[in-house]
Amino acid sequence: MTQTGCYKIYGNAVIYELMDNEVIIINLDLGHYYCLRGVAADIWTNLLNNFSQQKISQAIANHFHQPLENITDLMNKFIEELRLEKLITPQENVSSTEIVSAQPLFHAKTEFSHFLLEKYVDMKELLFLDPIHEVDEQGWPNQNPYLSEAISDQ
Amino acid sequence: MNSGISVIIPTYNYGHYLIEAIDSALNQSYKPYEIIIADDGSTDNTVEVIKRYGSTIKYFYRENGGIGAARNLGIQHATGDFLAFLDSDDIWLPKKLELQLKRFQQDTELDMVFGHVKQFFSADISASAKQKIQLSEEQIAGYIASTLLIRSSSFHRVGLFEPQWTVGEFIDWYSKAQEKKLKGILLDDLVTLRRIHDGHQHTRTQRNFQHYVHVIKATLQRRKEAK
Repeated sequence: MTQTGCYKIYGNAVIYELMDNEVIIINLDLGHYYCLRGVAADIWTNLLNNFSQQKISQAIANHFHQPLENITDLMNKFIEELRLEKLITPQENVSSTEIVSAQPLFHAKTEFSHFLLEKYVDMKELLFLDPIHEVDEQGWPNQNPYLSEAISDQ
Repeated sequence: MNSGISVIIPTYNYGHYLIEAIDSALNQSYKPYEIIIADDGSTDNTVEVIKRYGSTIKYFYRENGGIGAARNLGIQHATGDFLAFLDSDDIWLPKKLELQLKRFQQDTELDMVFGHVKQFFSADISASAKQKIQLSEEQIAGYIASTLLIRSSSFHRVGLFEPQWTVGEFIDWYSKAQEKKLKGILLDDLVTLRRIHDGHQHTRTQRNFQHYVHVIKATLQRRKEAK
């Protein structure tokens, strides 16, 4: 775990979007794509909205009435998986103003499930062929997808 | 077996690259049955370039609608038993069609044949664009439209390209081809040179890149519904 527990997108080759309560992620550098559903999709969204891993774990435990110890363990494994796939990277220098003080949000339809990163490699050669490094350092969207989704907070 | 190959070249304001693409199709060791230019609303010198070739090539025009829509226009006018696609900024090597057709003759159950591709920087690319692009100098597996030779009947089992995707339209089509269980192979041979130029930057905007995500989403949805 990082000191801040905060993460950001690994780089501009990682593109993603939340649609129908699922997050589709593509790592164009590796040609892999992923799907996050349910709680996993919510974790991704909250991580990229600058909530720390600890804060999200606590919120999940509260929201779904699960033991914090179990959630922390699941979260550690999930974060490690996202890091190994080069989808996120630690944000070590998060200023106090950047750390979100509100509570993480969960989609209204989300039910508790294990945090699963579904990985697919069957289109590797097609996705890999595109010269994606033409994009600038601004990277890909960081908009809060909850702005256009029906949500409930805790 | 009738081996008439319809070559479909979609283009949009690439008049300056089009000559090399057309010539590479005309110079094939196995001559195509027809070469179809599907002009996606070009406003440059594309028409002037086409006129040089007279009746050697067939020309069709549509309002700008994207590469998928342009390829579809060409497909609708194609009459060959095989379809081959060549993007107007790419170049075929002379034995491309011959090598691929030979594989079809060796295996009559084959639906489609790809080949390897090598990317190169266009002479006119700007220094700033070149600096941003990491280009492999190796030849790589070319699962792109410009290497594909496919039976017309097999193509139509999958269907036309989805015109709404500015990028990722071929990935979308190929994933459908996999779902239809088309039998395809990849030749070890280098068959296509893929030009990297400034124009890529105009089409590969942040918004357009999100099309990849939508294409993947649609693919996963189809798989889910098929279960």
